[in-house]
This record gives sequence, structure tokens and C-alpha cells, in this order.
Amino acid sequence: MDKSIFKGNQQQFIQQEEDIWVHVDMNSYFATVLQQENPALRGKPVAVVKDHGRTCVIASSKEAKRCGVGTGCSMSEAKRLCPGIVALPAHFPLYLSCTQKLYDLWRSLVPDPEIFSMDEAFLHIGKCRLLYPDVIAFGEMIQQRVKEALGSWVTCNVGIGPTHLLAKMAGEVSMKGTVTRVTHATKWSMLASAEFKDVCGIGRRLEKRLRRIGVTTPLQILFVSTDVLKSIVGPFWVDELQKIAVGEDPAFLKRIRMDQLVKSIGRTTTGFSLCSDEQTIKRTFFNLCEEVMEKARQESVCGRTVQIFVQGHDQFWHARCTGKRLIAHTQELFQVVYDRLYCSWHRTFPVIRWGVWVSNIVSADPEQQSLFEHDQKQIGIDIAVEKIRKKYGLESMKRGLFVRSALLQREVTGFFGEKRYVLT
Amino acid sequence: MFSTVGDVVSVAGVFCEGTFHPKKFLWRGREYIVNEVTMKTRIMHDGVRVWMYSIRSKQNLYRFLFNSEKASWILEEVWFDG
Repeated sequence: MDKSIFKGNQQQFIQQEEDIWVHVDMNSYFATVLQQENPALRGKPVAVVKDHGRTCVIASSKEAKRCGVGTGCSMSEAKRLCPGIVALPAHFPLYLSCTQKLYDLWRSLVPDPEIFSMDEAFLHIGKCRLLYPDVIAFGEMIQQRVKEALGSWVTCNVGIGPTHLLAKMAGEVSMKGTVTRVTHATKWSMLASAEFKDVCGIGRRLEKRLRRIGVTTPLQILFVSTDVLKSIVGPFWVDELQKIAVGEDPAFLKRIRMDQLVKSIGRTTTGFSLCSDEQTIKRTFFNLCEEVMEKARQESVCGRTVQIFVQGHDQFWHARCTGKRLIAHTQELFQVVYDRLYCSWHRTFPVIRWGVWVSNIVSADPEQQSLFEHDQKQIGIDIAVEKIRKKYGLESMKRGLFVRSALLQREVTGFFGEKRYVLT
Repeated sequence: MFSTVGDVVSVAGVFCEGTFHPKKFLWRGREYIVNEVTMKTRIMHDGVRVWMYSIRSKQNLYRFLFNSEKASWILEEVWFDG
């Protein structure tokens, strides 16, 4: 046998086999999990709102989607479109627990699953292709295993493709609960017919700009000159769109590995009504600072830049500053947030939404102690409070500031940027 | 709709292959038979890690929280259909 030919073929074989990504997307996750939990809701249109008393739909069941109720709908509109709809508050701890079960399942199937969001994951089956020679059968097995892990009502779409983008698109354009495969040979018809809403990374604004030059599908991007594209979408998006046009992964789909250092850590919260009470505003900021520092410690990172915002009915104010040293503890962060940033604002409107971010992040060695006694003390207090709360509950230990008020419940974002913080 | 309860309850069940399977519970002096455990999840409740059992008894759904450190059962919420 000609060894060089064999070697070449083998390399080609491995190359071909390595490029298989499986994208799993749970169907109507938040609503379906609630329906799985409560049999009385199965088959009924369900709208999930963030909490009791909230009116913005953050997720809807497939039955509600059929009536036109989608994310972002108001409850009054949802009731008009679908009179029998049931509104339920989201149960984030339940979703997180289900995501943890899914994560365990992905890890039992492939070595390095990539969690994309609470209900989406990418599995690379290149390295274990011998275990799964038939990828469609692998997709069907995933669907079966998801049902075993979470319950029979929970379904998912499985998209299989040579890149993250194509795998995700295959899942998006196909019917709910199906397994769809696209290869380099078959990708062109999908790229020529897919709508931008099914293409990861292309939002409404970008879609609108592209529509202006007559581009409505990814493949059409190839037929627009770089200069025209640049004038419409700017230099960053030219490269990204040209990659998308041929089914290659854009930069944001390559940045989903768990081992990367986070860029910023933040937390936002929305109140139930407009608030002008200074004590409540102060408490809320402190609460957010505590949570941000807890996340930072968990991730073993520290940041220097602090950013805050407050939002009113239709007004917005934000401020940021970069300090000379890394923020080490909650009290220090709060001083920057409240005394330095918030107090510089002239309180021109009542507040309903707050946000705090720490960026300019570097990894911090947890063993390295501060030289300043005060900092050491404060860090020690933060760690002790966290430990006590973990064992006896969030409300078991509070600062004097919170004596007569409740703390904000910890929560995770749907996009799941803090996956390392919550999944490990 | 779900109603918040927060009562301490007694739960009886069997251990099978290292897993606890609730069979009945006593709430406000009345015994309820467990028809189905629709979901069992490990969640953070009020900052503490607990087991949440979602249990169907007849047409109603009950959310129980089990704190394994304190070995305590709390009936957190009840869903009454209709």
C-alpha cells in the first residue's frame, strides 16, 4: 500500500471527522420546564414573567407562541392574543438546576461541552467520533437522554454542522423537536434561504441596515462589495458578515469557552415602582455591590473600572471611573459606586432600574493578602458573611443598612454569562 | 395559581437505590398520597442549597423543600388548578 496516500487519506478523514459540531437548543425552555413540573399546565398556553406583578413576558410556551405571544410582549397584549393564557413567575433556581442536569449530561457524552446559554450547548464530537459513527442517531439519542434527565415534556432541537454557526442555524431553521444536519456540501441552500432572525449574532438593527441594500439572506452578503458593506455596517461587521455568509464562525461564537477570563462582572435589578427614596437607592446599590464582589471572588478576579447606571421611566444616567488600584472588597466598591459616582448625579428623575459593573479585570491570586490591615479586615468580613449565608440562608446575616428590608435574591441571566460562577 | 405556604410538614417515603421516593405527606392534620414526583431538583433557596420536590397529589401540585442538613421538610408552594 502506498503509505503517503494512506497517510493523506487518513489526515483528510480526521480533518473531515473533527469538524462536527452538535448544537442543542431546548424548546421554549423556561415555559416547558414549568409545564414539565406541573402536569396541569401541559398543553396550555403559558407566559413566563420575571416575578409576581411583572407585566413583560420573558418566555412563552409553544402553545402560546402559536397564538403569537413571544418574548417582550406585554401581558395585556398576550391576553388579547391568547385569552386563556396562564401567566407564571419565572423560577430561576429551578432552571439553573435543570441546566446543571443538562451540563452533567453533555459532559457524559463529550469531553468539552461548550455552554452557550442556559438552554443551549455546543458539543464537539470530533474527538469521540468512533463512539458516534451515525451523527443523526447521536442527535436522536441526545433528545432521548434530555427527556430522561428532565422529563418527557421537555423537547429540544438538535442541529449538526461543520461549524458552530451552521450547527446553530440548522437547529434554528428546522421544525421543533427535530434533528437536522448540514454539511459543507449542503450549507449553500440553507445560507441562501435562512432569514437573519435565525442567524446568531445578527440583530434587528443590523438586519434593518442590510435590508436597506437589498440583503435579506446570509448568502447575499457575498454579492455586496466590501466597500459598500463597510459604509453600511462599519469595519468590524464587514469581516464578521463575510464569515457568516460562507458559514464560518464569527468571532463571538469562538469566544464561548469556559476557561476564558471574564471581561466584566455586573448585576442589574429592576424595582417594582419608581423610587426617589435615598435609603432604598443606597440599599439597592449596596446589594448590587455585594453580589458583584461575591461573583468576582468566586471567579478569582479583581477589577479597577467601575460603572453604574440608573434608569427612570424613560431617562437614563450612567457614570464610570477607573481607580489606581484593584477593588478588593464590597465596602470599597460601594464607596466608589455610591460616594464617588452616584453622589455626583443631581437626582433629576426617580429610579426604577439600577446597574453596577466592574471591568478592567485581572485574575487575582486568592492566597495573596493585602498589605493594608483595613482591607484584610474587610475581605475577611465579606468571606465570613458569604460562608454564613451559604449555610444559613441569605437573610441570616445583614448589614445594619438592611435591618428593615429584604435582600435581593441572587439570580442568573438567561444568556448565562456567569456560567462558571453558577455551574461549578 | 401557586400560593405560598411555608408550612413545616412530615413526609414519608422509601429509599430505593440511594434515592428517596416520597409516598405520602401530612399537612395541617391531613394525609395526602403522592401520585407523581414530577421533578426533583437541587436548588439554591434563600442562599442555601436544598432539594426541591415537585409533587402531584390528585390534581394539585406541591413544591416541597428538603434541607438535608436540618432534615426538615417545608411545603413552600401549592398549585391549585382552576
